[in-house]
Formats: sequence, C-alpha cells, structure tokens
Amino acid sequence: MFYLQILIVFFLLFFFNKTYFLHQKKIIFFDYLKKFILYTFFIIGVLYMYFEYYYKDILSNKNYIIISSLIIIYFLTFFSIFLTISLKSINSPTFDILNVIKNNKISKRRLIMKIRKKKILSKRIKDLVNQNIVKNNGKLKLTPEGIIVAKFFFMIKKIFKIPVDG
Amino acid sequence: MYIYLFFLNFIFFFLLLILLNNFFINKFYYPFKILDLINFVINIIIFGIINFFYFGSNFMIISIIINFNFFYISFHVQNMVNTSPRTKIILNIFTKNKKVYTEKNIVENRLNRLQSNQQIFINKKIIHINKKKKTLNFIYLVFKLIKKF
Repeated sequence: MFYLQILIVFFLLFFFNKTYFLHQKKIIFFDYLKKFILYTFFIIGVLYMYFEYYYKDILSNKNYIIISSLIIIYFLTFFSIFLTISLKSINSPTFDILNVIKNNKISKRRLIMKIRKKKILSKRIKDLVNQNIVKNNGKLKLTPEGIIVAKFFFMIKKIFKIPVDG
Repeated sequence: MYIYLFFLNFIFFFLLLILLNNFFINKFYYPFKILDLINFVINIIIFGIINFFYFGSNFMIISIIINFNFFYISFHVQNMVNTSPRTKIILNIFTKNKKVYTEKNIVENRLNRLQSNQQIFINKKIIHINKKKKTLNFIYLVFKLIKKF
C-alpha cells in the first residue's frame, strides 16, 4: 500500500505533464506553474471529498504523517520536473554537440559552424521574450519578472561561488 | 514532528552544501560535483537513520526520495547558473556585462568542460568521444528520454 501511494503521487505528476503538452509543444513557465497550482487544488479537492465520504478515519491524526510526507514528495518531485522540462522544447547545446560528434569525425571549427546554424542564441532570446523575462526593443531589457529571476540566479552564483560560463 | 524534521533536513542539506562549496575545492565526477554527492550521502545517512528510528522503515525510503530531490534540485540550479545560455543572457543583462557572447563561446565552453572531465579528447584537431567513459552515452540517453517524457 505504501509503495502504491508513492507511485500514485508520481503518476499524478506524470499525468499533469502529459496533459499540459497535449495541446502545446513549448512551455511557458508562468503558465505551467499556474496550471499546476489549479491542478493540485483540483486533485486535493477530489481526494478530500472522496475520503471524507468513504473513509472518514483516513483523515485522522494517525495518517497525518503519511499524508504530509506524500504532499512533500509531490511538490519536490514537481519542482525537479519543472527544472528539467524546458529541455523538452529547447535542445540543450550539449545534446546538439553530442548529436554532431557522436557519429562524425569533426574538427572544432566545423562543429562551431554547424552549431551556429542551429541559432542557439536567437532561439533562446526569443524564448526569454515569450516567457516575459526579457523585453526586446532593439536592446535587451529585463521585465519585472525577469529581474526577480535574475536576482535569484545572482544570489545562487554568489552563495555557491559558481562561475557563469554559459 | 515530521514536518519539523523535514525542515531540519532541508536547512541542513543546503547549509552543509554551502559550507562544503565555500571551504573545499570541488572536483567533478562528471556531470556531478563530488562535494554535492558527499553532501547527498551524508544527508541520506543522518536523516534516513532518524526517520527509521522515529517513524519506521517506510519513512527511511521517503527520506531517500526527499534527499534525492534536494540533490537533483541543487545540482540542476547550480548547473543552470554555470552552463545555461539563457541564464548567461539574463545575468549579462542584469550585471550590464557588455562582453560578447556567441555560439562559438557556447561550443568552446562545452568542449573545454568535456575535455577537462576526459569525456572527449582532441587529436589532430578532430574531436573524439572517449569510449572508455560511458557517461556521455548515458547523458545522451537522458536527453532523449526527457524529449519523450
């Protein structure tokens, strides 16, 4: 029963992702978060009503620890997926490089030329504009949401002393 | 009690990670940092045991899942700051960094990282994958799986 409960948590997240990408190929982060919150409220509501009606004792103090641990796993796993999911719509440059060098003997110069054709940077700038993180009026500028994101990354960079290579 | 233990685990995980990153030189076990792996193992041992004694074996499994999530999240966020082109663009605008950032930089940075971790080598200007190391194949497979998932 315990393992089944954990599997249900993973299944709920898997189901959300599959449903989200049913009608769209690209992810808009704020939209994805908003839909996830709505989905979570819906799931909690349905489960609460179900248990309240059929198994009232399940919502007692005895099961409080199990329920809270499952909720923690649900949100943490969602956050892990959230960080990874952008790779679904935009290829990682490492993936593009591996795709080229995996089956070809190629020089660094030719690899750069091939990757340049993929327009990695302009695709990303376009994506940042779509995400409403950056404004592009001839000159790139952060939006208010973009400033929050930038401050977060800047804080991580400082705390962990990470170089920003790109 | 359980919620307090979770928050304690959260605080301990990230504080220890910050301490380790600030006081020791980090090496890579590509694609992970060794100190991140050490932190992950220390947390699993400490909080796995505490959960086992207070709540039973099932909660030890939960503790492992929770710490694995912490590990993955911290790995991914650090990796984003270090290697993601989008993060680089955002931080360049934020810090008003005027240095030119092109596709050439992106490729060179990655080749340097892969070379320093001995995943590839360059012989007579030709790039070769180091077949003794299987990590790159694994990473390639993970990228493909994410696309399908």
